[in-house]
Amino acid sequence: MRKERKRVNYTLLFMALSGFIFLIIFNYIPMFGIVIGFKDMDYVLNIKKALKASDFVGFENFIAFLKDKEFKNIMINTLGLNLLQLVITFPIPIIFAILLNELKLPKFKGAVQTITYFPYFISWVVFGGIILGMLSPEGGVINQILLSLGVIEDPLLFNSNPQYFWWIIIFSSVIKGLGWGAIIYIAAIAGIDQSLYDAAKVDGANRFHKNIYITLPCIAGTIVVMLLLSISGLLSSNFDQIYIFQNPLNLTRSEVLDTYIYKIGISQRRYSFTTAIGIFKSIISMLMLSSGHFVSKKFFGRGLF
Amino acid sequence: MKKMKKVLCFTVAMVITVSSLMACSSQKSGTAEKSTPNPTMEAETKEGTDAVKEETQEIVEVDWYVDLPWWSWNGNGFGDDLTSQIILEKTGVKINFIVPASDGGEQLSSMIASDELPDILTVEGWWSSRARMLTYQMASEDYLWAFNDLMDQYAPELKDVMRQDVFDWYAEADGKTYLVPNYAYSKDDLVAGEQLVPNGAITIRQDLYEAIGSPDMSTPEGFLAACEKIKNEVKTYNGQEIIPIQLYEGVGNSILWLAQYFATPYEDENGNYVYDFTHENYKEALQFLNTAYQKGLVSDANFSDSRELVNEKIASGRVFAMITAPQDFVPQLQALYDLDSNAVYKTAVLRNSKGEDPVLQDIRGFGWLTTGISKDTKNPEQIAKLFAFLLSDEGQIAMCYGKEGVTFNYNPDGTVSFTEEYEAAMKNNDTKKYALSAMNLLDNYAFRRKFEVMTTDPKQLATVDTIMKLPLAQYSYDYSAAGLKLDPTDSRKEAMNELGVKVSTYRTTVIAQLVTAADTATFNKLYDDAVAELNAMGISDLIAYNNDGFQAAKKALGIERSWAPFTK
Repeated sequence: MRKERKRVNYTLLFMALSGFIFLIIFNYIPMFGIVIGFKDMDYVLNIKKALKASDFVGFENFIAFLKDKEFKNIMINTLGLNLLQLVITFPIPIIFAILLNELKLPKFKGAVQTITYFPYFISWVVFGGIILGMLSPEGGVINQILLSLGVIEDPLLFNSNPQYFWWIIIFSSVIKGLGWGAIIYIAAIAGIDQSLYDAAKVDGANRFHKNIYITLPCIAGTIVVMLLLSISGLLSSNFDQIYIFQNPLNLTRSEVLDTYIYKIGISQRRYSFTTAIGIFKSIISMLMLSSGHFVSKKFFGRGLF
Repeated sequence: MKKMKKVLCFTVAMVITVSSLMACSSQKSGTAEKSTPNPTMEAETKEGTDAVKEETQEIVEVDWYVDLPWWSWNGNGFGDDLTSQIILEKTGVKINFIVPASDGGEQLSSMIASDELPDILTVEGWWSSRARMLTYQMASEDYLWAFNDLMDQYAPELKDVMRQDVFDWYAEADGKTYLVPNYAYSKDDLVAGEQLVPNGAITIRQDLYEAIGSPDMSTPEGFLAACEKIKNEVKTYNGQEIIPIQLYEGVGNSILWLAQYFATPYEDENGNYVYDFTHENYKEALQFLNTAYQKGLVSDANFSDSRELVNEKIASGRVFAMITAPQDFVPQLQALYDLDSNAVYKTAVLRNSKGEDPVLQDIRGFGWLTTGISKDTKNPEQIAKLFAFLLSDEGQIAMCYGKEGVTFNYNPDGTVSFTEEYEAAMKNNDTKKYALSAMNLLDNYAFRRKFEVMTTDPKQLATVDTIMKLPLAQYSYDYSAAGLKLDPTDSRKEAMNELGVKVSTYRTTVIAQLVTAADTATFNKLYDDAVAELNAMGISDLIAYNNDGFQAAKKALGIERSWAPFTK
């Protein structure tokens, strides 16, 4: 048998290498910071110096978090908000992509796509500010409309009543992320072999049938991958978004892991305590991702890789 | 041809790889170069032009971090206005001010954690547990220059410009002082027995108050009834809905000032320290705000607004009553006066339900913001000289009044009056090019006020805080002892610092909940829960610790009792 000599493509190798080095520097090296979570480094000034000087305390920081009086509330908010997002925010771009695909006028389709795409490029600070203004009880558009329609008698306190918080987060992420989220599905739909549709037409399928029996199964792979990725992110929230809408009055429903870590960790300098929370979060996310992967591999025959 | 293309591709890939790696390192060396001006280079370039001037005239740039998101240099920019030009000319220091984006101190923590300290930093003083803990740690871990060392090594003249009693008050365990405050009141600058204006105040729009027939607002019920009348009868100002009661964003210090109106003591009849939150008068102040909230007089916007929005609301004239410190809103009050010269505020006297007189904290005390100098700075000598100038009598006058002959002139009696040029600029709102009072970070008002002339300008009379608050001077007392003098060598210090930060964070949240409680039953339950929670956190240790600090403060001040009703 002739020995096959593989030719090394240096160009590609170096292109990959830059990404690899990036990964090492910004993702792997910082991982050594995990030790902070096992040391007593709360309230220190300089992290580098304290890293050498401080003592190991084992899992004390983790236990402190599990015993923290905020723990229950934060977990409920983080999981509740993200599960709701998963149920509501996740399928909407898929439906939107399929609907968009059905549009016949290319110009109109392009216009809709651009308009829904646009909010993604506005930062949360600006976009959140606009939404807060619209929801304001003092002359905000939404309250004005509801008042003049006679739906409500007094303005609703959207920004301060905790019970509205989750819904504000969900609706604002739908508005902002709709166009962007649909891109990947639109691309997947574009990749479907046209002959499948033609064959279905011959068999007498209408548009609805075609979507159910051809489009959806064909993009199922993409959907599963996206779903698995969102499951791994169940404990991560969109920090910018939540931080913008958060205020002392809605804290009972708005404090999530990420905002808590930021406030306690950076502002109060409890570095070890919050690093421990971060590790806790990463481990749970990893467990969820891998179990999701195995489940999907087992039942659907496809996973992440 | 094909080979060339490959070589080209390869080179491009290499460049990307290398540059992505270089990006961080090159940036680092860039900033390093900037912050360390090469002395020989500087000397060479300056030699020709500045040979006539003194040897200190080599311009150095320093970073000055101010831990207040709303602070800014109120001028054209450093070097482009009179005040900063005076600093440049006198000290040769060009200051680059850095202000954080949010107010949790996150930026400062990360600067310290990553070894990127600014040359000079200013943080809040006695009332902020977070800032106090931070500066204490920085001093004891050798992050800050001791002013004593700076005096010995670089600037003996600093010794002469410091007020000794204030300087000693801030001494740490090693006997050295690492922070200098602004707006501290030294014994040297006070006349014995002098009554000063209070720090915070309740102010109401005089024209609106008269429009509803000047009702009695000195009782809690009367005050709220008047606010309701404003809300229901006057309704709008300039087409905008009136805000009956405005607080600081997120309540903030408003509760502190209100509690003083409600005569919340910090000392009991035996001379021991009293914790405010659990005192009945403090509870009544909270209840007062809650009642106002339930009646729709305090809006939810108080909790979601930023300081900029509060400023905007005050400047628009929508606010009827505010529980704040008026000195924080002088520019806004002046902007409002320019729109409507009838829209002026006056102070109100509010008493608790027992009818006790307010016991307000006067503006004396050991300062507002505290400033320290980083050990990492490359220019300790120039900064010491900068401080010596800013703290000197000459510097104090220059920072507030500018240049003699240009913006001010001395009167025969030694006081200071603005020139016509500056008066005209004030009328046209064109004072940015002078930037007077922009440099307030080391201001010593106790000294400077001797140069003030009682103004006759109606706008100044109506809007300047010290004039506005004069009627309250009769209720204002020396609170210095309540600022505590904590023993820096105390072994409990670290634990108590941590507890203090936790307690104050908790209080911020719980006060917001209390103010916005839906009904009285909810309020009472929340309050009881909060007291229980504070007890669980170990508040009694903190009270015992503070009591020691309180006794030490009284001893240092040479007084038996501090709480005004006991000293009368």
